[in-house]
Amino acid sequence: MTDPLADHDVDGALRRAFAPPPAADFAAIAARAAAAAPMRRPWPWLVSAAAVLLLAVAWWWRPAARGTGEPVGETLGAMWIAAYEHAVADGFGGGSCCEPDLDLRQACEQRFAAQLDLEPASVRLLGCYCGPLPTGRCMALLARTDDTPVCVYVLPRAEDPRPRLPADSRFELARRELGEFVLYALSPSASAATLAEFVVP
Amino acid sequence: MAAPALGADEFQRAFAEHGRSLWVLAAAWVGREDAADLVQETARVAWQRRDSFVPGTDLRAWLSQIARHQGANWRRRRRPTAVADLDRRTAAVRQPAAWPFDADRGGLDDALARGLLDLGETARACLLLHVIQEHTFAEIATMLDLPENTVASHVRRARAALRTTLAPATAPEPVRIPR
Repeated sequence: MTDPLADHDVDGALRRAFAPPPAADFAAIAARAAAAAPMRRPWPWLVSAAAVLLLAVAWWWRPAARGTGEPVGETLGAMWIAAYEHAVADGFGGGSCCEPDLDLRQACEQRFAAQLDLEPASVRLLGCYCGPLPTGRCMALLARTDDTPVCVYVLPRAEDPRPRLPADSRFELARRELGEFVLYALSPSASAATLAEFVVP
Repeated sequence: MAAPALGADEFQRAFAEHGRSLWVLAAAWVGREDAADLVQETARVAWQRRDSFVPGTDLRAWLSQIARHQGANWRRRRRPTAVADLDRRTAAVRQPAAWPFDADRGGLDDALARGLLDLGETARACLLLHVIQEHTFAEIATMLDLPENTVASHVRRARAALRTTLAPATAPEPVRIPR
């Protein structure tokens, strides 16, 4: 049963406590945001992909690298960033995402002969990245953690390529060893929390 | 290249029109003292993503969605997590971010602060948007991506909870009848 008088008292207390600033303050906030925004690069994933190509060519022509043929270190990190930006530009769950009904445990069993699963609390697995950009020898997953796009890269721990990000990168790269696997999570912020929800069955 | 969906002038007009509602939503999520900062962060992200806004759709709902995501990131950044231990396979220690509604800090009545703290953040957002900005349940449902009935239920239960919390201060003194 409601009490109009008591509701009036509650509402009055809330209005006194939560009076927002005037509308002009928010117009100023918007003006500052627009003025402070850096110059936008067109198609950032395309720029990153071009950088990846140059890095990959430079890496391949290093004499010590000829034998392995797989990207490692900062080259691989740049490739993963390019794939992330391409997936975001594509809607992150759009055309560059396949296997939306991915059975992670089965897929890892088939590819790596070991099991990996997800016990999601805040992570939602969208599928696999299947865009045109290379990601090395890993299973590249697209996920959202509290609606933040995150790319998760799964590899056998014994083949850890130790990717690194450029020093001035705006991304975070988290790493976790889990059973037979090493997992990496790439996103603009707080990617480590994503990896905590993966488990070995 | 196509022109962006939102120009600078329209963007400022949008914030002049909807900024107060965004501030109330932000206050429900991160507290009054940080609400302006969260709205500023929302504006920054919304400007960067202005090309993703579809003209003719609900601009307030679009801005609210960005604010909600930024609010979730805000709270997660302030939540202690033993990230460094992940490689050593120890469980990540996750503690819920306490809603920063310290009565002394916020200049609030203790009972009101305590009552608001006990509400869930969704119920708190529904209540404040309805009471402070006088949004209808349908408008709040669109802003928070909830069913309208759920919003109505949140507001009703939140009001009941706060009535109970504030009751000792509002209840009349019992009258003693002399023998």
